[in-house]
Amino acid sequence: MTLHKQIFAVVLLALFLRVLNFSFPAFTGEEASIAFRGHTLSMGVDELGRSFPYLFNSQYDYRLPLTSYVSALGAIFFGKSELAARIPFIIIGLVLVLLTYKVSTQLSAKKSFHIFSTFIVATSPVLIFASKVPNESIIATTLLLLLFYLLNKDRLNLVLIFLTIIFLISTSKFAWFILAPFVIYTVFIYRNTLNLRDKLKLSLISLTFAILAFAFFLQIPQGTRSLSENNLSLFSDITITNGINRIRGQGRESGWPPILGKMLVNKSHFFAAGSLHWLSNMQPAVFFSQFDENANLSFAGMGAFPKITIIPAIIGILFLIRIKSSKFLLYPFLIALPSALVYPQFSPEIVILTLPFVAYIIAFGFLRINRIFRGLILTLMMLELFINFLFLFPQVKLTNDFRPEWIKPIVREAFNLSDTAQVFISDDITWDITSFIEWYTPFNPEDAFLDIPYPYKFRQTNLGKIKLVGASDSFRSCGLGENSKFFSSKRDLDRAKDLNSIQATSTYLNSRKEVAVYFIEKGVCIN
Amino acid sequence: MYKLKNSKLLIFIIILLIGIFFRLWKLPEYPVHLSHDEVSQAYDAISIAQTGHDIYGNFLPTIFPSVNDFKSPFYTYTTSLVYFLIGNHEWMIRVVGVFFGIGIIPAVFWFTLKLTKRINIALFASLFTAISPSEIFFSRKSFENGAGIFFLLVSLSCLLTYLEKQKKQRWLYSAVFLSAFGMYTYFSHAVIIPLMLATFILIFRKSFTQGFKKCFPPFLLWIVLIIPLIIIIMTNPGSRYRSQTVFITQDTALERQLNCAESENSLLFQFLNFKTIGDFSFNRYLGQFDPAYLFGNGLDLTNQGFLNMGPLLLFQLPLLLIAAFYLIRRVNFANPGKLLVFLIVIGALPSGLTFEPHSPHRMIIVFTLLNIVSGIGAFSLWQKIKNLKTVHRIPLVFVPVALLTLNIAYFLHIYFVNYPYEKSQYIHYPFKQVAEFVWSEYDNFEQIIFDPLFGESAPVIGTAAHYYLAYYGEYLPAKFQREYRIGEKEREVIFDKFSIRKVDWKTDQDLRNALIIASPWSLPADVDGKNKVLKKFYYYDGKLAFYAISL
Repeated sequence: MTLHKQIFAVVLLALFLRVLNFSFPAFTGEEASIAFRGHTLSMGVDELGRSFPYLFNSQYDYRLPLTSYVSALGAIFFGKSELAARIPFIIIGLVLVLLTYKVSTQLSAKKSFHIFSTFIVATSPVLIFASKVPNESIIATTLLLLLFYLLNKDRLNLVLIFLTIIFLISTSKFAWFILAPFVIYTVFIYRNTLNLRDKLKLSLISLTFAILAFAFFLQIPQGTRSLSENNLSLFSDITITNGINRIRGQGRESGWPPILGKMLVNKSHFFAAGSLHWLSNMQPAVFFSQFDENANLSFAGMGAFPKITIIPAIIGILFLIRIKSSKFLLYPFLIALPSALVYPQFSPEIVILTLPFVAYIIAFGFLRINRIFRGLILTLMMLELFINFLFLFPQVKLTNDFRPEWIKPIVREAFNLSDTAQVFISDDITWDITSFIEWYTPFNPEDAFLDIPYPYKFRQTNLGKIKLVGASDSFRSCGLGENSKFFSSKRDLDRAKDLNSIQATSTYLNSRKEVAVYFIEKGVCIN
Repeated sequence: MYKLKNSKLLIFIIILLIGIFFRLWKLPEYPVHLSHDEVSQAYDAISIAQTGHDIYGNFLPTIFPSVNDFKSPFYTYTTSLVYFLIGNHEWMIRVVGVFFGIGIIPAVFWFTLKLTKRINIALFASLFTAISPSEIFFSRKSFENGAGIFFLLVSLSCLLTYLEKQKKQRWLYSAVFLSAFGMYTYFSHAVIIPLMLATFILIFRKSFTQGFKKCFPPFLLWIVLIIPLIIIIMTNPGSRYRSQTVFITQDTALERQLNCAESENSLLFQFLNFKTIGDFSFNRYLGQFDPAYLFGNGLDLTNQGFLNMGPLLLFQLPLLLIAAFYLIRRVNFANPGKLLVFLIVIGALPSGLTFEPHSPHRMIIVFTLLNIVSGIGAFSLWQKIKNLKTVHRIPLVFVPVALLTLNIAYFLHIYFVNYPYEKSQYIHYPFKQVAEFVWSEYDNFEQIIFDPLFGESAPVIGTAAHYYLAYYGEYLPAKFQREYRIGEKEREVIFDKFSIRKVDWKTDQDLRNALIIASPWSLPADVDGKNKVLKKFYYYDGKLAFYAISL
């Protein structure tokens, strides 16, 4: 088989893995909101009625525009459907696989290396997951790899580099932190064959765009807060400051001289905490055994790559050190550097960006293994992947809270009932239920339009005749003529039971076959 | 045979003295309180020395039931020897641990010298062993694992010496005895020491120039020596119970995942069960190499996140990276490098297969080996620095030395100052004060009830309450063995006039001529105002732990 046929086969495999069990995984609230936003953007406005905005809302942060507009492309062709929501990201995932092949030709002349690296990226469970749902990570990963490719080409195409940088900084705020160090490291240290003028030009472009992005973002309302809470939480984390004060205070109580306490326990611990946190994000377990704690971005018990690939990964690292090509080894750590600043949360969305580079390291390891063991490793890789794909129900149950497949019949029933009644839904049934209502029902977007120019962590609670009920809302018995239906959580059922003769007429189960929602057909209204 | 130059010998002695100082300085006072493990081993040791039975009446047990954690016997029996020598002192329980903790320093030196054939590497390795937080912490903690590590390192050194001069069989037999003995010191050593020996033989198989036939008699001897251990492990129900209670399947996070894998198809369920446990175990194992754990907070000496201490100094992190490059690029270090790596991989197995996310006490061998690797890194760095001009060399030496000094000073601050404040509850503080008070009031009451439910932020049941009472009352073990019985009330054990049980204030408040020791978790909020409180007991940080109430 020629190389091109082999690559084609790998791409076909990648496609197969990304369309297999097409509706898996179910969307998170964030992903559903991107999908719905894509649908509304295909009609010219976002979910809040703003015309082609450049900044979007989410539960946790502002969202940069590119991901949502990519989602809109799918909606333009396929309308409001699962296919429309997933297909753009599947295509980007396949582009990533092809790009991996192109970059592999820059890293090594060996055809087997090209095949292995492409195969590893094609079969990475995390990259498969990221290719199947609307998210910015797969776009940022592809763009970053594209940038690497363009920077290492014999002839630099400044226009393409320029465009890639623009798209990258329009995708993820983390890219603003990575961009300049990435470009500078590539042109000055890794590649180091360009003339000084080109090196400075590229470095300046990347630095300028990163600075402009920061400067522009800081002018936006809540921009500083957004950066502080989501990208620089290390510095706003109160636990380190409290810890320093507490440790010092105990020293003073014990008679240690205050000056010694200050020398030993001081703000340098922010640096230590950030550094260790950064390395912790890059620990072996993340890549080979459990990518993220909640199993949201990979199978439970699976890392970014199948377990057996730890062997070629170690061999690849040894190989690169021995042949003194260890500069490449620094790329994953460099790209993951912003995770140092996002303390104490782990940042799988940053680690995803490093995966193609780690795949190359694994591929280098494969080159050093004899055929028999290679075949065995590849077999075990595919076996682990297919077993996980074959038996999805444990994964579905495990991600019951974050990827609530079970929410669909509930929101659809709620929407149907809203034709003839006021419908109340507890807001703690699941994370971000608004997005599920908007996405899984024929919801009229105009019912949720609001005049908010810069919505930061905005929660929409009024969706036409559907209202979300929060912990601060109080209940009363409905009056004559008030027709209400209540989809209640356990929290609100306990509160609503105080009202006279309130009974749940039916229940809805979640993926674990536990009662998640109680349906109260009448009698409960909100003050 | 290496003859140490006087200068190198002097450096080694200084290193050893530094290690001795860190391990012995204020040993009776720090840790500030005997933990439940220490007091139970101490009292069992006295019981063995005086009666030949443990406190439950078991004659020379091969496993000590203790506080239902079935301890391995080595530490208790060696402590009873110490008791014979010096009598009962509170610090007697720490003697064995600190003895082997100090012994590990020359053991590391010898092992590293034999492995790398470089005295300077051995010196650096022993330096890091002398100042390593994990070595110091566990040496002072009366922990039996250190003895096993000592025997393992010495036996591997004997094996390496045998490979140098294969006519001298005594080195081979010494390795056999020491490695077998090491397996008796701690449960996990019974598994990892054979694996480590097998790894050694595999890696250095070509160095056995005399052939393996000559090794057969020593191998047989080794088998004979470990047969009793195998019998103990296989037949003692305590051993099986302990293995079951600490195995990874006890982890609640795993239980949650297994619940998700339940299926009506029993074959599928078994398969998914097996797969889930395997995945979880692998993840648990790899998690032992989390840099945040190793260099940040693995020893868990405080509750302040990264304002804490790892088993290794943060200073050692770059040295480990330098060592990795050094070992990988040098062909003549291939076998030593492989041995160190595989010993580390095997050494992490016990911690990787237990129910706790991290069990540093099960992984001490790994920290010791990483100290050796740090020594290699320091040596590599020194090789580069020493060839520089003086004007460049001085700052390049001064800065790392200053940073290392600060790092050590930080560890000492955390250990001696903050650890008592933050974690006194975890070493059962103030059970000693309670015991001493209770004995001072012994004659004034007909019954003394102690509820060991306590805790600063959440209630936990303290174990070994009966040990604390017996030990600090110098209660004769022979009498304790007769008196001890399980009571009828909830979690009640009784000896003499002591009843250690759950306090039910609704009924217990009506008792007469009784002394009740209980925490605020067991008592009503207004107990202080309405009853005669004889004394209050506090945690090390001053928070209220127990009331002593006279009825």
